[in-house]
Amino acid sequence: MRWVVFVIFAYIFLALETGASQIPALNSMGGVSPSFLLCFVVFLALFAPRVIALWMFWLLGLLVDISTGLFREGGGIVFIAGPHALGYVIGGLLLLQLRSLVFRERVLTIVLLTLLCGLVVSVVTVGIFVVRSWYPESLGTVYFETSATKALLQRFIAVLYSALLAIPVGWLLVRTLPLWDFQIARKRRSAW
Amino acid sequence: MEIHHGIGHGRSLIQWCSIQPEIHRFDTLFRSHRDCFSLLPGQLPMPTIRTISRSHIVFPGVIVLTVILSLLPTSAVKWVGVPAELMGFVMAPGRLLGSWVGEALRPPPSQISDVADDPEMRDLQLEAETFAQLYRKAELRVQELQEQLEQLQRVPVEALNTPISLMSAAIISRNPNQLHGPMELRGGSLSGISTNSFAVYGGVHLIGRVINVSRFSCWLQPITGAKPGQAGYIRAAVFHQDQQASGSSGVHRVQLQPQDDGTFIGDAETIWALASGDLVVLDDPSWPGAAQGMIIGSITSIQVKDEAPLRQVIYVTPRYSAFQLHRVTLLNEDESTSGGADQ
Repeated sequence: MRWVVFVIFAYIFLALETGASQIPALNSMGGVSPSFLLCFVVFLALFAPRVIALWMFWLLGLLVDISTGLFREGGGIVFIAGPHALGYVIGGLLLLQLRSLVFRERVLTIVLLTLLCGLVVSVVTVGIFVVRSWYPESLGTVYFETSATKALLQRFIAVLYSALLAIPVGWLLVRTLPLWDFQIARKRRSAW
Repeated sequence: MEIHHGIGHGRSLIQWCSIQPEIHRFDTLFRSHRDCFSLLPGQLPMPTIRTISRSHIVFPGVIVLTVILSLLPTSAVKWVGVPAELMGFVMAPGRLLGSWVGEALRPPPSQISDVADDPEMRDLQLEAETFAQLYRKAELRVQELQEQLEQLQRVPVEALNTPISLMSAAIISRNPNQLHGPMELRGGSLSGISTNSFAVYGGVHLIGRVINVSRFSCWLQPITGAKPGQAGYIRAAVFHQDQQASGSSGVHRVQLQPQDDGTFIGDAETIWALASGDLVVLDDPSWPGAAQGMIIGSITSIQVKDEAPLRQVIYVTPRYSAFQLHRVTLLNEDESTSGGADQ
């Protein structure tokens, strides 16, 4: 596997995740935006070596955590490292177990696994924030704009949107397989 | 000859015994990492066997540390801001590019929607809105002075035009899971931005307040974002759209609370005769003095409280929200002359 390619793609997808998320956002539905990074994580889960994939999930999740700040009472912003890292690792672990049972090069596979991974990531992330919201801290932190239930529902809608986005993004990523030089002894073809 | 044959067999046996541990170790690793070994003939495995065995020990430990880190109290994770700032610095070019692409593909709402393409008319409209804001700010100040004069208090005279510096800042990063959550702007302490700065759009429409500043970037909390406790309330003043038609004069002060849909709700008295379309502006001493009088939004609906018929619930909708925008104007008030920054 070529690490340079991973770094470049990770940079691009992280920039899309945090810098361009408003482009496809559905303002009429509360600004729900899809996750570009989720499609990338699914792609890595399907093709990257197992151990390396786990490290990449953890790293990408950690980078998302330190890119998204939360408002803290009294002014200021706080970064919570860990929720997305754990979410991506657990979701990725699930995909690693399933990848031997699916047709990896199929775009439909990427769509369905994006949906599955996204649900896991959402539950884990929101769950950690719910636990943190129970802390009797003197200065409150805004983990949810409304409530945990609404936040989870919003994330689920975002996951559905991400699954739709995975159709073109997944197709494009599969076309880039020759760049990655994954050790897969199979003919690469992107198909339905 | 038989002895030589026996020695040869012995040597083979010794060689076979010496490589047995390696064969057993390789076989164990192969069975547990089949995917890594799906190779074409002649290809080397990637990663190496030593790396795989080391990762089996290190990775679970890293996960345990991550779990602990994610559950640490907020006061114990302030240091995460350092790598976050570094991350922001590294990602800034990519995010800025994304912001530019977003601005091209999804332009923000026009600052002037009801004027033709005539540039002269557009400039006149902007000038009119600016002067209207100055007028509202002055009227608030006049009313405050009248109240203090009645109580025989000596009030320092504030300059209506507080020295401020302006800067156009691009929104380079948002939390995709919080529509009204903090946003990162390009421009930090090196550009003169401080926590005394606030953001506007269209010159007079209040967007948010800077809550964290680093050297090259700053974080903006939109006014529509939920805040814990008393910090979530914004003090505002309502100006009637048509004072003569409403039969009411003066300014009415309300407290607004952000809602999850980007609007605000507040309590008002029925006797004020507020109506849809009335302008709501900032009148909060916890904000910088230059922000006073900036437009928060306009009243879009009013509902009478069933449990208290003499009071109404007003719904205020901002004209512009931070999530629609790609660029805002940051105003930084000179702290030596600020009259309203009282935290």
